[in-house]
Amino acid sequence: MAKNQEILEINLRKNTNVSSRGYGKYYGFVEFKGTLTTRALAEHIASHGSLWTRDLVEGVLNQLKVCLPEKVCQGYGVQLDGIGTLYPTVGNKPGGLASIANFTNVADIIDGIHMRFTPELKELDRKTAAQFAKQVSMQQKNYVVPIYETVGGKKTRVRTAKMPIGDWISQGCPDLA
Amino acid sequence: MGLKKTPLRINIRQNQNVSSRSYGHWFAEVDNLGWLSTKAMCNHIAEHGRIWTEDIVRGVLSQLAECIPELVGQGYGVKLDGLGTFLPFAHSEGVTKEKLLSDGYNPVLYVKGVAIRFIPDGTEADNLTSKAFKQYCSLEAGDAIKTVSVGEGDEKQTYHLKMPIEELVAGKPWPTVEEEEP
Repeated sequence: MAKNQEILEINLRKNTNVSSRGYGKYYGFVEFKGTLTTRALAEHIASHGSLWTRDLVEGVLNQLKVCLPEKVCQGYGVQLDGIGTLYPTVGNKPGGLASIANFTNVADIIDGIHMRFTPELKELDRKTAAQFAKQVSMQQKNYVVPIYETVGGKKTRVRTAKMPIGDWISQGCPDLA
Repeated sequence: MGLKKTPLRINIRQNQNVSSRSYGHWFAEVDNLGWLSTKAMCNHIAEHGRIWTEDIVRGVLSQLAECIPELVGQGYGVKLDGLGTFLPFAHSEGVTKEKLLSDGYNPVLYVKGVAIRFIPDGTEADNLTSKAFKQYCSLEAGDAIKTVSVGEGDEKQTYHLKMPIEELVAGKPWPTVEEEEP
């Protein structure tokens, strides 16, 4: 069937963590198609036939990579309309500072400064998880089982067993491992 | 002393949750200076005096706002060099084998949300992961903050009492509610 929206393929995996409440249940996850580099993104934008050529997009993004961390590290949140907001938060050392009398320097109680991202919340461009799920067309893909082997005392993922979800269910949900 | 960079002010606050293991301990937080809109960011870039004027930056960012969700919605990660990567992530509900065998699997029913996640760039030259980003920032001690609520119901008012950290360490008492704006 022809779709009006982008198609996001969803794989299925079994929860094998015995200490989890969802142990034994099946969960969907995104079929990840890889990461596009900045250059690929610039070429994609240029291929839309818009005014913005690859060199221009790459130039602006290069400038953005200088200015955005600069503003975030001064304590500002930076809103990119239609995408979301990047802002700083503190990662404290575990347990914090037990007594204010021991305070010497703020850097001593901080583990790191995170650059956090919140998707766009404005009505027209809302990209929260529930809203974004409505903007894509989800389609089932594979049932996936990662196969691990112990090599030299270390558990290593050696391969991934896959089967289309429809076939897998019609065969009675076999354990592919 | 002259600073090379505009400092990042860090406030501290005491954990007041009695059921927490860290009750009474002090934790740092960023003194948020506010939110820069896209237009303010475009202006800032244009003010650097480069060839990118505000309209060009704004146009490219508008285009990005179309293409990043489009590509992430197809299952791709999108990397902006020196900043980080936007990735898709499914918030999924668990389903039992019996349910799968009887009804099949329709992702629309079980995937409750698709989040756009951001992971800061971790490559050597542009490392923005938390520990490296801490080195990038110039940290400065700000205020100690205490949140106090007065009154009940509709008349409840919240006050954020502030005092410089060094005064708190020196043992100076907190300002009273009467001295602060709610």
